[in-house]
Amino acid sequence: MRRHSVGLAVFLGVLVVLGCGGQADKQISAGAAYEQAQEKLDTLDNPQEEVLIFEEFVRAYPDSEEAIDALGAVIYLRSKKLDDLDGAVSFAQTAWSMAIDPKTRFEYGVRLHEISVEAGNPVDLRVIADELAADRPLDFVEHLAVVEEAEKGGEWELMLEHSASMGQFANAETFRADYPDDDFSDERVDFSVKRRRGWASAYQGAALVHLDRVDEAMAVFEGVADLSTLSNYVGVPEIPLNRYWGKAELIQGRPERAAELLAPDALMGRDDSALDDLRAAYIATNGTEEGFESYALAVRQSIATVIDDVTLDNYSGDPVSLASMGGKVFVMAFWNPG
Amino acid sequence: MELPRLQTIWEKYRNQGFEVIAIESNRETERAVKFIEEAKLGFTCLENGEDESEVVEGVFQVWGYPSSFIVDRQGRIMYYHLGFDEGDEKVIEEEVLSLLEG
Repeated sequence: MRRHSVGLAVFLGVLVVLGCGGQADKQISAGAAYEQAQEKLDTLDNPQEEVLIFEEFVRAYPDSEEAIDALGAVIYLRSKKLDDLDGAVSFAQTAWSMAIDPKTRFEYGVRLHEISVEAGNPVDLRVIADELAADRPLDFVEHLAVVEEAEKGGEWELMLEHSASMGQFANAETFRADYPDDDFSDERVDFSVKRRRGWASAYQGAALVHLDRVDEAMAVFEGVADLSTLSNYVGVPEIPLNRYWGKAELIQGRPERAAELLAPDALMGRDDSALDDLRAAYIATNGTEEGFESYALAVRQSIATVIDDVTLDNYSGDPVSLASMGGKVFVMAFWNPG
Repeated sequence: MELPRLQTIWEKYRNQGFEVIAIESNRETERAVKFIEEAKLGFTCLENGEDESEVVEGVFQVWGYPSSFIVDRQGRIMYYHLGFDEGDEKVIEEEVLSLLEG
């Protein structure tokens, strides 16, 4: 299997040599080796050379935590920078076949699935999920990863099963048990549990819609209607409930209700699939796409949050208030040198 | 990195009633100042407050970096952007331009 995947790569000679070199360095820990690799990377600025360093690392330490990161880098560089989608899939396959630890295999498998979907030839996600489940029960985040991948690949039955499992983690006791080192306030836990419940139901409903079980989907959405206002400061929902619910309303022939649910995701956060659905709802209501742009702007203005005025110091120690921007368009950028 | 790209947009539209306000969330003053000087950022750079005056999480509920809000002349947050990928500066510029013209 491994030999075969390597054979698929165009530059096999280089890889085999680097791969062997990596094996010989195994005395040092994966963490130290990854640091060395990072130092080497700092001296390079071409993706062709960078990708080889990451690949060498994955081959030398296939079961390390760092290798999951490195595989992500390989996939990114090959697919986005080197225009080599097939090479990205092929290397993800190689990494997956090299790893032994079930958790690592799962993490590789998820990445392999994602890139194989992009390449139009998805690997079997159920095999990847079942393999970890045979070792131990999946946790919330792992179920979520399967659900998100199943959605990308259009594997709706699998998406439904794992989103239903996510629901079992939506209680305070389980949430606290997942973060034993943190001492969260009751408020924080309550919010997180709501979010878990919302995610689980949103994905279940979405899968049901795709399986043409729209009535059941509607019942699931109605069951968490209390969570449809869960949004951040700018009014973008914290969970994908409204955008899936909106899509279902659209299918059910209620475009106005659909538009109401879809607007924040579609307009404030630039969720392109929600924007497509919002446009479809507009057309269903008005019989034409004409006027959609000005409609979208008007809706955006009506749902937009007016920013709170705060005053902070600049680096000369002078206080600056947002109110002093009066009448200007501005970008507020949150950053840290981290 | 987002800020140097915002500098480019700022230079282009600053005379048309456009501003950039960068808020450094961690109060890493020394590193922030070094970055601002090296990148020659000319727009407004502010430092998050301490304790009671902390605003990034407390007021704006921002936990991911970089994130940005685009605010219109009426003070409405018309666009929210989390993360920064190559090409995002074009999206931001388009939004800014449409608000300046609107």
